[in-house]
This record gives sequence, structure tokens and C-alpha cells, in this order.
Amino acid sequence: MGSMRGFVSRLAVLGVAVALAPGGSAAAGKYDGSAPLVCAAMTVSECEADGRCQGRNAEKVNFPALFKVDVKAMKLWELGAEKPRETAIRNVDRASNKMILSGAEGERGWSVLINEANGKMSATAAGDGEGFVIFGQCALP
Amino acid sequence: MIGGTRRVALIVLAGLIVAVPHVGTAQPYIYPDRGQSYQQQESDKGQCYGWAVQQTGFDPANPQVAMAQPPPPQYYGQPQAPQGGMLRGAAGGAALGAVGGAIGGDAGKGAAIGAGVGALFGGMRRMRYEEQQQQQMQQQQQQQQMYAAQQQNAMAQGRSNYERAFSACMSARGYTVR
Repeated sequence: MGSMRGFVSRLAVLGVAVALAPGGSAAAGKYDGSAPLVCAAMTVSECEADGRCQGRNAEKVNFPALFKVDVKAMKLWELGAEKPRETAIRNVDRASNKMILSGAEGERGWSVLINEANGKMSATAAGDGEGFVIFGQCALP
Repeated sequence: MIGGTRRVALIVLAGLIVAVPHVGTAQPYIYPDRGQSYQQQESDKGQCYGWAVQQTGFDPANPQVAMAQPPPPQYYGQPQAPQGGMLRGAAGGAALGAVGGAIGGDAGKGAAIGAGVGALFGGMRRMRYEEQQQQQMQQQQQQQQMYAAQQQNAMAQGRSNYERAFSACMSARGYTVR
């Protein structure tokens, strides 16, 4: 119950941050990694090699509801945890106003795509015969 | 000597308990229609017991039913163990961190840092795997319950058959059995 409240409050903080962030084309380039971003995982799909996907809650699949992206430090890390999990960004690519971060962890490869104009985030984590697709929103804290 | 006598008495008593077929349910009432003696009744009961066991394959003194063993656990779709699971990711990260810390001269600190490294995406948990595991467990429980119910039914059926056979035998020997 407490973690649910925490999750909701974190989302609320992110919501305020998004609301305060300049919108539209004026914000273009703001989500380009020049400053750290706070991202929220809104929906998660768990997919199997047989083509079946199932909608999940981020917490259920042990993925942080909120995480920070620091392109300059080349890392992503969990927000609001005592011992935050983190991962190193191995590559930063850009294409059509999208920033694409990628890396590898254990037996999985991952990628996070952030729309530089509006902060929309799409992420994937793929393993052997399985994968996760995460959609969310990033904001400038 | 007294101890030895007591032991012999106990053995005899145990033998008697084992020798008398214990049905487990209410014993039938047997009335000797032809005025048979007690010894004759006991002899007839013993013979009818043997005959009924032979006929039905069910021995109330040793109630067992021949049934196939419950099916072994089945794995549908062969779920793969989660790759790079939370523990694995964390443990692996901790190990790496400890190595890093040891190089830097502080293995404990290194392990603490490492616990969080590599577990963000690598530690994502496959719910479907867990759901499949849960389903399999439920299926196994259901199968075991079904097996137990079938065994109970077979036991009841065997007992019923035995009682009918015993009753038929005793009736033929001039007894009323209820």
C-alpha cells in the first residue's frame, strides 16, 4: 500500500515536471540529453517468442516506475530506492529528433528511445526468447 | 521370567488382533438361521472371508486398491528460467562490484555498489514464467486431489464388493446377514 502511494506521488511529481516543462517546438532539443531526464514507465508489455504479449505493471516485472537518464554520465538509474539499480549507457545514437540509448545487461540487450521534442519514451529489453516493451514519458526535473 | 511371559502374552494378543479381519466400517450382523454353534460361525466367517477376498481382490484387513500412480508433473511450453533474473543480476552485479572493490581495496563497498549495477533491465522479471509455474503447481495439486478421490472411490467400491461377496457366502451357509 505504501509503495503504491509512493508510486502515485512519484508520478504526480513527474506530472508536475512535465506540465511545467515548455511544450511544443519550443522544447525541441530539451530532451536531447544535454540535461538529465526523469522518466516514468507508464506501460510495460512482456512478450514471448510465440508472439504473445501481456500488459504488466512496471513494479510487477521488477522495473522501476521512475528512473533517471544522465547521458553525460552515460548511465540510467532508478529513482526513489535505497539501493538504486543502475545501468551503463554504451551507445548514444540520434535519428530524426530521437535520442536512442542502448546497452547490455547480463543476458539482455536494452534500448531507450526518447523523443527530443516531447520527451516521449519507448524502451525495450530483449533476452533469449523474451522481451519487454516499455512506454513512458520523460521530463526535465 | 515374568517379563518373558508378559512378552509372549503381548505377542499372542497382537497376533489375535492381526488375525481377525478388521473391516473398518460397521460389521454386519450375522444370525445363524440353522442354530450353528459359535465355533461353526467363526469357521464359516473365516472361510467366507477368504472366499470374498479371493473373489473381489479386496482384503478388508489390508485395504489396498490397484491404481495407476498419479501422472508425473508435466511442463507445458517448457518455460525457460528467467534470463538474467533479479537475483542473478544483483548477485552477478555484486560479484563484479566486489571484484572492483577488492581491486580498489574495499571489497565490501564494492559489493554494495555492485548490487545495483546491471539489474535495471537485466533484473526484469518474467511474470509469464511465474504464472506458468503457478499454473503447473495448481494442476499438480488438482491431479493429486483427483487421484486421492479416485483412490477413495476405488476403496469404497472394493469394500462394497467384498461385503456383498461375504454376505452371499454367509447366506449360502445358512446365515442371515444385515
